Amino acid sequence: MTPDSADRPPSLAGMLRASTMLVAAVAAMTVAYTVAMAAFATLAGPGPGAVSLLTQEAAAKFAGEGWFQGRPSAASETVSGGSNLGPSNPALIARVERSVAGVRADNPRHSGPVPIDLVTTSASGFDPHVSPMAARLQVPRVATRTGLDEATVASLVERSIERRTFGLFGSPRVDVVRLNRALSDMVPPQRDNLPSERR
Amino acid sequence: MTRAWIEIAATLAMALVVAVAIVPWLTALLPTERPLHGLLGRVAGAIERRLLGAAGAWPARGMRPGEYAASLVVLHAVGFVVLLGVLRLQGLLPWNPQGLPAVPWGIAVNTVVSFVTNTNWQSYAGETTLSPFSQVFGLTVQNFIAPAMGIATMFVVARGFVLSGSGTVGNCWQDVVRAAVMLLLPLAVLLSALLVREGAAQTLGALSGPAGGPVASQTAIALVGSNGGGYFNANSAHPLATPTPLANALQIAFMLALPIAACLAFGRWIADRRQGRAILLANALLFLPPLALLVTAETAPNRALPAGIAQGHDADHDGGSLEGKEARFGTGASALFVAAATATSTGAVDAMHDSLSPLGGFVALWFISLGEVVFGGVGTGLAGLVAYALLAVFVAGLMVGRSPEYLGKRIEAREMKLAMLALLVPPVTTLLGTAVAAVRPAMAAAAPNPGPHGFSELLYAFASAANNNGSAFAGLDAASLSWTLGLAAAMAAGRMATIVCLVLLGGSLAAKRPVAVSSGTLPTHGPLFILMLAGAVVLVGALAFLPALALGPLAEALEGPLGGTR
Repeated sequence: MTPDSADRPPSLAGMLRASTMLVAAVAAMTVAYTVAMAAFATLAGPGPGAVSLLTQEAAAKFAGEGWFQGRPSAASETVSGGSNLGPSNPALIARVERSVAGVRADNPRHSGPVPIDLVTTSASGFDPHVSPMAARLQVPRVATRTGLDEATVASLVERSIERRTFGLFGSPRVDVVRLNRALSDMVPPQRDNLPSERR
Repeated sequence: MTRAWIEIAATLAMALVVAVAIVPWLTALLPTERPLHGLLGRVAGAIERRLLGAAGAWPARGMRPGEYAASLVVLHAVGFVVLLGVLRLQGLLPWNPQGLPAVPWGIAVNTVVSFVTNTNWQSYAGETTLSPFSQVFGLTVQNFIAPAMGIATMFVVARGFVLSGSGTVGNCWQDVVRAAVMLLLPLAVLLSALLVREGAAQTLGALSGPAGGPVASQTAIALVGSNGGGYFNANSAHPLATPTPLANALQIAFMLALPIAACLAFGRWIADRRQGRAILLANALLFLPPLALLVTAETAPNRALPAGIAQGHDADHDGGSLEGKEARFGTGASALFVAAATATSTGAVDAMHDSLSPLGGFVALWFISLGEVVFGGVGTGLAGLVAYALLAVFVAGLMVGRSPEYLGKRIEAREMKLAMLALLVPPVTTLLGTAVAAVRPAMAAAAPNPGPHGFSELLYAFASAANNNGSAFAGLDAASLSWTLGLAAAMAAGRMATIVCLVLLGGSLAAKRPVAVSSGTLPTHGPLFILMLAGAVVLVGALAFLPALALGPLAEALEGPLGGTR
């Protein structure tokens, strides 16, 4: 070790000075770090819009039977978050039962089990993804309501499926926000039965 | 569910690779008697000299343990005052596009203690409470300093074995600068860059709230420094913080990397790599079985839900207990994140812990209750596990009637007292706090879920605070003054007891001269000692917490689906 502490007795003033300078230095470093990473994001990031958020605004825009529906949300307009309901909480069970009934009523041609992702709220409340199974079961309804060919809608869904990264990380999924945007490009605007896009 | 296990194994392998890459650099940061070598070392040395010179601490002189501990306490105090100032003056400070007012006193004090003590409990929603200025100049600054103080504590404990007959244990300011600037910063830059490439938000402009802000930079240091404080209320679950499954895996890997690297660097510091590997294996032994339970519980269907729901796993549907989880990660990787964030003291979340299955919540609580030593916080985790190692050799010594020693240092009454204080203050604080909350109706009412799950919410809050984890059963409405201040007191007690006792412990060991290895010395690198070390951790944890855990998550698990609640 370097020279012993005995040559200079410790003082509170010295500690305060060193601490304050240290906090100031780290603050400067943090700002440089934050700005540098923002510059990096501008240069090398995928750009704005690369990540979809199923916010209340997005959900309202694509509300209605002519659009693909995402997962229910416990988030507010501005604050992300989950329901925080325990797994056996009666409130959770009642809510899931309502969601299941809703999915069945909206998609009468679907007779199999309802995928769990479509009836549970996500952790962020802005989760834009559903399972491929959840997207596929909505195809007949969306096709009917938009007047599009069912095969066309089905192939759009298949093309929208995101696979596991390196075949390993994550779950196969469909981004409903992006899917609905692609759908709105396909719906001929003069048709009467097209869903109204509320902005 | 084989696929989920392969994904988990791959993520853990990624953590190990990052850790092994860090080890040589981390090893070089401990000795201060000679300058760092190489080009990188010269640059780092120049930064260190200038910073310490400005702080009036150059040339860095060795501090006695008492002065070292006092310096850490003062650094906490100064951090407290500065951060409290930032939050209370938020309305007057710039870079506040939403025009947010000052943070209310109770939440401000709670948040400040939380970030200064490396807990990062969040009693606020980032989007609607904090301006980007407060996040960057306030919280992110502490996200560097708080773990750096933990790493400094680890340095002192390591020097306890490296030095002999020394009255000093290194220079606090030098250690903190090395940890923050030379270790945490480069790792945070690397992880931020990777997250940004995956699509995480990192913007400086007027965008804030749910739309973005300096998210990647804060998330990265929160994970690298086992802080856990996220930019958003939903923390790492938010798509702008963790946009892809790969971003999720990277976050897990970087959370675990530094604590793993610390074990291996410890072996190099004391010039006996077997000892570092033994500590790492004890950690693995403590980490993997509960992880398996957690993953099994979360990937299984929630049987309380009505029939007619697909909860299984197949090619086009990844089921499991998805309430409070993100569809892109799936339940297996979400469970691994939960384990990594509770075993390390990070406390970040990519899934809502309140909605975990009963056994999943049990594992999360278990990891936290063990005192954040299973990998643990950066620095404090390893230092705490060394304290457990002293307990293990002490118990072994009692069994065979020999005076205990560890790594050549004789363990005597003073060392045992300090180790036990460091290990017992957090559980005592947890249980006292939970008991008070459970008997005071006004506090107990903060738990929104009925029955045993409600009790788990109270227990989780105090365990998370006293052990400086910071994750939550987030349904708990901890915004009242008795909660914010009660948890702040628990966070401060847990942190101060741990840091001060461990620094004094290191000092006490550094003053001793090594004893010669004899035939009576217990080898501390073999399977027997690894089992004893893991056993000591489990025993203390089980003795302290099983009664409380039985009232919470275990009761909930036994209650069965749709069992009578309340």
